[in-house]
Amino acid sequence: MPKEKNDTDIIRLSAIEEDILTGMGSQELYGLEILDHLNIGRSFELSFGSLYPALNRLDKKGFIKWRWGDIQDGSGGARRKYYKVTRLGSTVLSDVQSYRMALQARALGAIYQ
Amino acid sequence: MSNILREEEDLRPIHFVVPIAAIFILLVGIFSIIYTILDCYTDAPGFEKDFANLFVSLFISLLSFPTFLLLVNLPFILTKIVESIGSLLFLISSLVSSVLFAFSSALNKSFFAVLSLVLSLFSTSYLSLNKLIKTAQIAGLNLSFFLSRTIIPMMNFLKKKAVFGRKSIHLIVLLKLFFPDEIVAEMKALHEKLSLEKKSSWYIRTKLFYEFITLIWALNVQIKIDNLHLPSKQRNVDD
Repeated sequence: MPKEKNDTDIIRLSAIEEDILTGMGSQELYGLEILDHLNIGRSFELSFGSLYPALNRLDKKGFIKWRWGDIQDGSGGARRKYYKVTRLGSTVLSDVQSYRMALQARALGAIYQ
Repeated sequence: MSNILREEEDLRPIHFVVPIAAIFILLVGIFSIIYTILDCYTDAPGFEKDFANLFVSLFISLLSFPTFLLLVNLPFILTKIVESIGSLLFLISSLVSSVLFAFSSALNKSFFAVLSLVLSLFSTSYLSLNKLIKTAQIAGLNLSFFLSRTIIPMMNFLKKKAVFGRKSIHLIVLLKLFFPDEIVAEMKALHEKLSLEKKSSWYIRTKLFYEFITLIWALNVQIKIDNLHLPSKQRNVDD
């Protein structure tokens, strides 16, 4: 019997996925630009090997969309993919961030009580 | 445009070669299986063991890549394709190597096997990547159905190679063998960025090698495993 898909599996955001959505904001960026945004001030550098699986997951969940860019000079006719956060992606991100802020507020409240 | 049309017209007469080669390989395969079964499970007269082995070996050797290339390119050899001594040597040695391999297995003669191996090594190593691409380019339309992700993109790229330096060509050809377009573009961008930042060549090479290895793992293993539990997405390429 096939296992039914659980919606919570789909809307769950890992740390790196959350970082990507936050770092992209409303901009349309390609992979290296996303990495540059994420790696500033980061304790350990992210690589393409970490980025692409995360982008694939976000794409499959419908949190980002992409389009092909123009052919790049010197890349043998290869084209970049430009990624952008979807409305669903930004909604889920703001939900997760609101939850974290509420969590932080509760934690601070507990400390000062 | 007119050049492209002319090339396609020139290649049209050999479209029948691949189906014929495929049917030939299939027939030899079927016969080899029949003979092997008869040889193993019956005492039928006339089915000599060596004869059955010969068919099996011939079938295996026909599946080898150089032999397939040879079959695809055979009409060119017979007509106008013998451009250089190099490609001719490659094609002849592939054929001889395959036949020797078949005989060596069938007759249990190690001398033939060694000779076959030497010739095979010679034929495959002699042909550098550029030669291989040239051979594939000649039979581009025939090979496109199974080489669309490797040789054909490289060929398209090499047509534009006059613009770029020789080292970049080798790097990008290598990347195109393993990765999709967007990754090649990203790696090229990373290479340019690191060069602009005046990083040492050793650092750049190490970084690119690290990215190469992690991407191989990510694209071929991690993403495929992730996709097992992710919803599939129906979309067009340029949505």
